[in-house]
Amino acid sequence: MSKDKHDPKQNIKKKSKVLVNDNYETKYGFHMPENYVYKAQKGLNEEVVKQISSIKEEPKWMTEFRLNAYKTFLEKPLPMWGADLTKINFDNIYYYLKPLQSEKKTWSDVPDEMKETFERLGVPQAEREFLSGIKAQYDSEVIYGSLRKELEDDGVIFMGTDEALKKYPHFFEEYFGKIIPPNDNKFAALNSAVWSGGSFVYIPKGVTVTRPLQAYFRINAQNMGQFERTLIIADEGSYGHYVEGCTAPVFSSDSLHAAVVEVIVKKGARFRYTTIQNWSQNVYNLVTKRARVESDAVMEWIDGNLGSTVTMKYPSCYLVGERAHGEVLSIAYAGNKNQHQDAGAKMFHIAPNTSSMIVSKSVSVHGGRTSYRGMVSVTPSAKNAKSRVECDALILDSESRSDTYPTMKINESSANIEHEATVSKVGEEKLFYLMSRGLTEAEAMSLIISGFIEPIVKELPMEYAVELNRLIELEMEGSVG
Amino acid sequence: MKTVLLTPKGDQFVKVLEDTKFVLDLSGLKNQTADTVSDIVFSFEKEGVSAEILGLFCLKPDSSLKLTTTALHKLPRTSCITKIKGVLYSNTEASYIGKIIIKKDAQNTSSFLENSTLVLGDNTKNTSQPILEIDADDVKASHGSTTGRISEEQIYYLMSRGITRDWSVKMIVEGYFEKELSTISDPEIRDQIRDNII
Repeated sequence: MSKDKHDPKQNIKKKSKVLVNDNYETKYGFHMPENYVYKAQKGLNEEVVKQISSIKEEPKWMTEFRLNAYKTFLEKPLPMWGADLTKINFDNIYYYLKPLQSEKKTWSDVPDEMKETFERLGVPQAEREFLSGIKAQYDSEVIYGSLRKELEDDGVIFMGTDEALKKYPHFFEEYFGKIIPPNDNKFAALNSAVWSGGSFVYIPKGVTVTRPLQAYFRINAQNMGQFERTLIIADEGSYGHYVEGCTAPVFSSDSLHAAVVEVIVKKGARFRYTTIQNWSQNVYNLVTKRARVESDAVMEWIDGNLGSTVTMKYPSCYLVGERAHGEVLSIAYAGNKNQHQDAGAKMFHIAPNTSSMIVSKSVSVHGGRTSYRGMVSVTPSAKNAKSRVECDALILDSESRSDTYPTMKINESSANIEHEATVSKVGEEKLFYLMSRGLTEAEAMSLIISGFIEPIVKELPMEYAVELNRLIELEMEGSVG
Repeated sequence: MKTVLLTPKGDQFVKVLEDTKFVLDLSGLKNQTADTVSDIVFSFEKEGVSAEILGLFCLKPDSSLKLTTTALHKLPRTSCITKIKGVLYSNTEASYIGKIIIKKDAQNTSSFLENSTLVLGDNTKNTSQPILEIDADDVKASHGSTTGRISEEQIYYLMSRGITRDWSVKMIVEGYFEKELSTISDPEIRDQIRDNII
């Protein structure tokens, strides 16, 4: 697995100049149709869906796709098997907010804890303003411009999904909605009806993109949208790494984030998708992420769930080609009684000689609840499948809770499947040992937790790893004693 | 630790009031319909008790098994080790759900679950769902589940000593179960279970 050699200090500087996605034509240059309604309206109905499509000037097949998905969304019931979703008020949400209409917030609107976290993490001012939703975009042609040129020379496409639909419709006709069809689940149906923003990545055959593609580089308020739709195609023999999110808390007045991510990893290709999610405490984060992995290909999901009030997310791999390999490394942190991280992974072994690995680490404290929910399925045609699942959980106090609900469905007799899980608290002896070396209880605790999550953190790009460790230290300070 | 033989037929609620080793006779559970699941709940109703739950099964061709066990810890300082091990011949289907539930007041509990399945035939289906629901923090809980075939190396080793393949497999299966059988102190129960599975 490749490691980035970025100098954290340099990168922080770079980030403050990071640039906005240059969607100037959409923002300033497009044509308003006669019956266009600028005012964002709350609630969802067929008219809103049609408006979204017409504002974006989409092809007819996409408009129909959205309308059919909307019908599916209405038909499907709310899932009751996971976290509690009954408090979501679907009528009280803005399903599409034109960028020009985003409400201006001021620095005084930003919660104090958030301001302090920015300070402690060393997040630069421009970034703070962006993350708090005060500033709608970053300004910097320089970084993004040069990155774009490098990628273009190799034929790599990296742009917003809306833009890509216009420029590269053939990719969408072939792959869009094929990995995650709208009827997959209620929130995939919702996203399919009202999606906006997200990333499109195409890596041509044999191309290796060493520098991680960061959603960060092309952000603006649009991309932070609640219903992002990301489509990634790694063509044969290619390699790429996409990083999304940040460890700093993201302040959002939107209460529902239902994104869909579809990834196709073709023969011999390798792709890694890293997410660190740290939404503010009012957000329901319900995401469907799935990869189709062809023969001799590798897909890695690195998933960090730190924020939101409820997260339900199960990155999955459909291992459809021989010798395909899928991995999920996941961290979940639930730090207060209003947080429930219901995360996990799913692996479907469909072709022969496939393998998978799932490592999940979770920490719950102050009444938080973490649940691991997973599936390893081996179908009758998947000879010699190998899978290993390891989920470990730390519960740090008596108010918190941890669950694991793994399922293994093995319908092939040559499979080799292992699963193990442990739930425990941090041993008194370990704390005592460290404290006897002069550390305070909080320092000892945060050192142990850092060690606990280390196998996953070491796979993150350096600046994320640094920030994540600092964030854990911060969280631990408040939680002990 | 006293040994108790349980022959589950359908749902059962067992109160654990003293240190006990529960041996499940699962031969009666074969060939259930899709709707019948045996859900056996072991409720730890006295502080400080410990229990072992042992279930061994052997599904001969064209049979199936559906079983759920729950270790329900509500009081402090209880401990439990659950082991469910089985062997699947051809055209068999096994489905096992093993729950460990530790309630808020059940501090200093330790509970372990092991589910392992050895696959001998073809066209088998095995579903394993080990579940943990932990509400107390000062506990130790873990589970493990494995499904796999006998390694060809082990069979080759025995065959190279002049033993036929069928006998080699038989010996390996006996060894697989013998480790657990030898922990049953009551000879009658031990023999009864041994007859069921080998």
